[in-house]
Amino acid sequence: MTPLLQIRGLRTHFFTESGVAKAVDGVDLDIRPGEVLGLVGESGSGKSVTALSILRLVPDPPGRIVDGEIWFKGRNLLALSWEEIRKVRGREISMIFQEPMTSLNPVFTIGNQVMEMIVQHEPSARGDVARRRALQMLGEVGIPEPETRMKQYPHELSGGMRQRIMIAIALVMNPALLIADEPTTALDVTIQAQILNLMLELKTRHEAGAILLITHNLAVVAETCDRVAVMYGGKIQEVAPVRDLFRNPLHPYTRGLLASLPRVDGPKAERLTTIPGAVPDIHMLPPGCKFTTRCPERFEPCPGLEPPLVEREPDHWVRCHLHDDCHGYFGRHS
Amino acid sequence: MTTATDTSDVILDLQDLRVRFPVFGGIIPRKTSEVRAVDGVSLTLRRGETVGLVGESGCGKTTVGRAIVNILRKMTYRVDIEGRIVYHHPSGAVDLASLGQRQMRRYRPDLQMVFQDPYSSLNPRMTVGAIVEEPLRIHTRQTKAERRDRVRWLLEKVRLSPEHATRYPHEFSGGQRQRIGIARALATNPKIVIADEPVSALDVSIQAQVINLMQDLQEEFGLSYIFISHDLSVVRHIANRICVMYFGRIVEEGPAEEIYLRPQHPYSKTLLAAVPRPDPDRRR
Amino acid sequence: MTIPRDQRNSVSEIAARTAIESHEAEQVAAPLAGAVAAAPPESVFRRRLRKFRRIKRGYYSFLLIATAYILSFLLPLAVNSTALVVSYQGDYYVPIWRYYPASTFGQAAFGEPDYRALQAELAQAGAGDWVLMPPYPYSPNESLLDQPGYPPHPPSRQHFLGTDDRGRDVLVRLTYGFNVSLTFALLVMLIADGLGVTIGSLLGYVSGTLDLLGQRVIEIWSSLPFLYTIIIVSSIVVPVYVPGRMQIMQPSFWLLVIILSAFEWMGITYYIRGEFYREKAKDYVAAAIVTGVSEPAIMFRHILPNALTPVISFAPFTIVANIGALVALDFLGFGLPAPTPSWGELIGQGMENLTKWWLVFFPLGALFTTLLLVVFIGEAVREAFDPKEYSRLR
Repeated sequence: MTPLLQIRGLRTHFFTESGVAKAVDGVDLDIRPGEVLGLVGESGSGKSVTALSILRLVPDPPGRIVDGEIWFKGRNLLALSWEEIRKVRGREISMIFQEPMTSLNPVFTIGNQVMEMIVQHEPSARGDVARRRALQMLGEVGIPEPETRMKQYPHELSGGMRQRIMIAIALVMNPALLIADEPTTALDVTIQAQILNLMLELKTRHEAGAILLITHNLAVVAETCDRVAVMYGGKIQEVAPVRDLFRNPLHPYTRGLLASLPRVDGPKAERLTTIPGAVPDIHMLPPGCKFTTRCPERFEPCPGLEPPLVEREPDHWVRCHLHDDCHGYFGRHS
Repeated sequence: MTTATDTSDVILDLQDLRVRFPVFGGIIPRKTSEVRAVDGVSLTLRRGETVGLVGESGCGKTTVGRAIVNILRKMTYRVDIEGRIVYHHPSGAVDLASLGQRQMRRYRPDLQMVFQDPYSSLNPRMTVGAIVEEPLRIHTRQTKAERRDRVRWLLEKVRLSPEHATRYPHEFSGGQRQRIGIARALATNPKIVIADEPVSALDVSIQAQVINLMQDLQEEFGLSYIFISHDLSVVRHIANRICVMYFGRIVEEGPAEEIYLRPQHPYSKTLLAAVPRPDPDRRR
Repeated sequence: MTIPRDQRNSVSEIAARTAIESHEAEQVAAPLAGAVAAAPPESVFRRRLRKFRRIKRGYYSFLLIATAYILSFLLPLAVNSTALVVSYQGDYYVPIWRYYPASTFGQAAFGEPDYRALQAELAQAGAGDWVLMPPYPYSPNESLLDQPGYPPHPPSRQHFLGTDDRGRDVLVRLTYGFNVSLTFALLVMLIADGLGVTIGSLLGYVSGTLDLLGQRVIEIWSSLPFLYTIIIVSSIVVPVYVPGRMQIMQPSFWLLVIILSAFEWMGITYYIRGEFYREKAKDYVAAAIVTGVSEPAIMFRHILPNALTPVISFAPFTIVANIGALVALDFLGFGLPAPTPSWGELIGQGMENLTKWWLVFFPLGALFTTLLLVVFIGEAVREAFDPKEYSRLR
């Protein structure tokens, strides 16, 4: 199956006073048609910057995509002109952000903002045509009384409603890929569930659309994603189908994350398991494995040598010396 | 097990607490309506116990916490508070809701608070040492050297290095800042700590560290916690009893495991069902 | 994605902001986590100072202006028609320090001796007496009518920048004017900001009715027309020039400082009031109340240091505005009374004598250079206070 989007060797660095921050430092990732790919990581892992890099929304300066290729429908997005990438945004790849409060323009009505998206990409679809499509889209994202809502302003709606509007705007052009950057983090649990359900439902309706869901919440990933990529220190540490990842996490970081999750199901643990230490300063990541400083299973090669991303099981990739051929698999365990 | 027959170990008792915020409007601003943020909340907290106060944004849980430490009148213009907040001080019960700021000062050391936002809850212009020391300067007559020793001891208790006392908050990560906030709360040997979403702003791998730390400190110092959170999964790990709040009222109250295994109120059920579980077999 | 046309900017801005913020979060995350704790602790103020010093243009402008301003208080030693030391008939005299009547040195005149003439006289007499004059021996208010022709005189070897229409040395007046302008600007800023910060803090902290009334008073006050008030005040209180006193000790100078301050404090008051509203809603204030910190301490020790950012970042621009205001008032003739050396008055002369290029070019040049340097400082201060890591100035 040809991937819908292929990220190869993506490096996005931030050039700041305190040095070069390698926010994304060599990311390879495929998004397959029709799948929901979860990109998981803690703050500072580079997950949001990866997403912004796909649509070339990284603020420059201080950020710059220094290396890599992003292939989408036979074109390298990183080599497109600004005019061409602008046509890709929204029409073929859409994005929704965490903060539904600030992602909508407060001085325009909802209808205005949805229709603008249509007119922008199909100048022929003026007036009534755009209006009808906007109405239909608002209905699809579960906005009650779309006629009335069209005339309302963002501040008149609740956070959940606003995020629905954002989804409507993002999906009205039927994009092939939807990038959702922490779409539910700012919302209450009950609303979060609704929004996630809505996204999945819309995906099934508009078949072949893929979703890249960026989140720090592993539980959300478990419930919604088909595959998961775990990021840490600007690199992908583990990629696997969701069941494999949760049943058989290979990377010590993934294992730590899963173990430290507070849960509402299952027996209550007396004490939560923790990952010691804190997320390291992005300016001073270790030269070898980025997780070295906190890893309970580190051994000789870890601090100095960057492990490669290897396919340890079918479709299950991991970046760890425990599982790489020279040190772990044959070296240590044999 | 936890029946209310023995009232001697009750340390805090909210009786029908009501908080209303006025809404101002009109050309000449005057009160046009009001928001009932807390609408008749009663709950009891026993010594050494943790009560989890759970609900979604706007349900009034934070207001309850702020009412207990009596800072609502100070922070909000013309707030209306009714009901009683009975604190069982060794010298006798006292209704905190009726106290002014001056009378309240006497009880301040006993009731401390840990805040949600590790970035805004520490004064960026003060060193960590000064932040942790401030309650000591106000409530004790310790000398400078005694205070300094106590600050170092407190920082060690929250697993920071005593050398960090000379540093400024912006030099720390979110989890470390939250521990500084905990050290400040512990400085005066409090009896009750109100923790208002103390881990919500933290990374997953850091949340567990802070929760464990809070549990250790509770054991060591015999603290009673009111743990306010929107996250049912976090509360489960620290609370003995849980109160579910909805629109200013407590809709369900019970032992923690009871709520998770057999939620009674429809809202508790909805809330619990909405919590995502890290289990790929339970798909949406 | 594409966003509606009008919104495109805003969303890419959001994207940018998100990224910057998350980047900042990354940036600050756990610098102490590892073995990095070697760097000394750095307060917010020190960090900004470090950033400021790194912006060379602003930093050097600051050094230049500050040095020039401090040195300008020593002007009487360098630019003056009064001698520094006189050795006359075996005795030493220090005229820069004490006043001697002309008769002391055998000059047949009333009042202050003409030391330049005395110098020439004594040198000619060759009796071993001497006069030590400052390097540039002219005073700001001295009409040099002994020059050939009529004033204004063009630049010459004695008067580098020429003289004005009353025969006063332009260079001397410019240097003294620099001291007057900057002192004026600083004083007005100090008084206005002091007043504004105090009132703004009170309105913002106490809020409620006091805030409501305070704001109305400010609104009424700020609707008073500044220029008319100045004209009316200066026609009632006739500004007098007290001879022999330093310019910045003149009563008229202080009158002007007070009038301008009275019209300038409102701006900063609004900012401080707003800052107080914002800061007092933050959790560290709640924490201070929970701790039992007293009200004055919350207000001054906790909130105020966090609310002063606008005062500092506006300071250079306030100075620019104040210098400009004084120049404008002097130009219009409502400023400092004659013969105070002032840039505005010189610029006014330049306008009346457009053909005398030195009267146009030099005062405007001095004003332009000073304002430009202060603006550079302002730019650097603003940049240093910007939480963003990247800067086009560095």
